[in-house]
Amino acid sequence: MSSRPIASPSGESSAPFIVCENVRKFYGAFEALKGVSLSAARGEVVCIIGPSGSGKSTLLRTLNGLESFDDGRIRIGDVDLPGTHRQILEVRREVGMVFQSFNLFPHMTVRRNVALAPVRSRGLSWVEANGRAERLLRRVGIVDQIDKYPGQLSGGQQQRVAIARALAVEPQVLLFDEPTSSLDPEMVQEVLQVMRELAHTGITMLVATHEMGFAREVADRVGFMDGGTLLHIAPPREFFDHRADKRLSAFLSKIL
Amino acid sequence: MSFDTQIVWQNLPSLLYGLRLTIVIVILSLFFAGVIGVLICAGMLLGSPVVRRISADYVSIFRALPEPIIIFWLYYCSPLILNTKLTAFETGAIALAIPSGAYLAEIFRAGIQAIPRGQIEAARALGLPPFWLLWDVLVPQALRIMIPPTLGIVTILIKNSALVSALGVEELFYRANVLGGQTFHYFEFLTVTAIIYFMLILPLSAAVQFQEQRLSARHR
Repeated sequence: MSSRPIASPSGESSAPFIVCENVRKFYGAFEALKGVSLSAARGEVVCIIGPSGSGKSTLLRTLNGLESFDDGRIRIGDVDLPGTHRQILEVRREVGMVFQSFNLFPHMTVRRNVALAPVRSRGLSWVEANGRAERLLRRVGIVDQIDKYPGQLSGGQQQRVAIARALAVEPQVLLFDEPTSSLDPEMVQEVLQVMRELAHTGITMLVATHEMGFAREVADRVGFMDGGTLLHIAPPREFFDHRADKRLSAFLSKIL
Repeated sequence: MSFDTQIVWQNLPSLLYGLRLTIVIVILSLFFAGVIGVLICAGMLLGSPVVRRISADYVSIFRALPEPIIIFWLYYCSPLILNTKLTAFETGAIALAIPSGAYLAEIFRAGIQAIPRGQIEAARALGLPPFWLLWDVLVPQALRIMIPPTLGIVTILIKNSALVSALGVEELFYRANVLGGQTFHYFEFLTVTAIIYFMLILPLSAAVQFQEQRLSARHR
C-alpha cells in the first residue's frame, strides 16, 4: 500500500492523523460517548475492546462522519469534522471502513464491488479500477471468486472482499467495526490474517474487536471502552499484564 | 355447437380496434398511476406529518374501494361537485389509475425501505457522491425488488380495463360484447377475447417468474 500523504504535504509523519478531543454523542437522553479523547499517528494500529454498547462502534463511526457528534473536536488530517459536504467526502476517501455485517453490494460482482468507489470517488477509469480490484483481491486471496456475487461467498470471503473494497480508494486509515464478530469461528482466522498483513503496510488501523489475541499481537496500543468512556489505553503488554482499571480486569477475566 | 372461425375473421379488425384502445387506456392509466405512486410514496417517506397522514390515507382508502365504484363515481358523481366534464375514455383512464397508484406507492415504499441501512452506510463510507450512491447502490436494488409486484399491478390493470366498457368506452371487452350481440356469436367472440387477454398477460407473468428466478439464483 502506498501511503500518499494528501492531508499535509509538509508531512511530519509523527503528527497524529486522527485527533479526537472530548467527543460527546447523545442519542436522545442517552449519552453514547461521554467525552472520548483519542489520537492515532500515521501507521499506528489501535485496537479498542469493551463490552457491547460501550461506544466502540459509535466512536469509529464518528470518525468518518457516519455519525454526528454533539460536543468536542474531531480532526482527520487537515479537516475538522463535521466539515463541509466536499470535505466529508474527502475524509471518507481517506478513512475507509469495514463493517461487522460486510455490507457488500449484493447486486454487483465481487470485481465491481471493489472497482466501484475508485471510479466514482477517485475518477479512475473502469479499466484501471478493474486492474486495481484484481490486484487487491489477489492480495486478500479471493481473486478466483472475482466474477461471483457476494451471496455466493462465505462470510469470511465476503469480509475479505469488503477489506479489498475499502482499500481500493487508497485510504490512509481503515476503521474496522468488529470485523469478525458475525463470522463462523472457522472463518475468523482468514480475516484476521489479512488484517495482520495489512498492519505491516503502514496504513493506520482502528479496530473495534473482541479478538484479544489479535489485539495483543498486532496492536501498537489497546484501548478499553466502557459506558461511553475510553477508560484506559496502553501498549498491549502493559494493557493486558497490568490491568490498570478495575472494570477492565473484570471484563478481561470474563472473556479470557 | 360449432366454433365459427369465419365470423371471427370477418370481424377481427373491429375486435383489434378494441384491443388497441385497451392498450392505450392501460398505458395511459399506468402512466398516471406511476406519477401518483411516486408522489404518494415520496409523501409517505419524506413528507411532513400531515403529508404522511394524507398519503397513507390515500393508500388505505383507494385500496379498499372496488374499482367499479371508483369508475362510476368519477363518471356520474364527480361532475356534480367538481365541475368537470371528462369523456368516458378520460374518466376510465383516471379511474383505473387512482387505485393502481395506491398499490404502486406501497410497492415503491416497500422497495426503498427493504434496502438495508448498511448498504447506504457502506456507500457513504466509500465516499460515493450522493448521485452515484443513488444510481449505483439504491436504485438498482430497489428496482429489483419493485419489478415483480409492479408487473403484477400491470396485470391487474389490464384485466380491470375491461370495466370501463361499462361507461361505453369501446375497448376490447366492449367490442366483444357488441359483436357477440350483433352476430349472436357470443361464444366465438368472448372466447377469442379471453385468449387475447391471456396473450397480453402471459409475457408479463413469464417476466415476473424469470426475474424472481434470477434473483433467487443470485442470492440463494
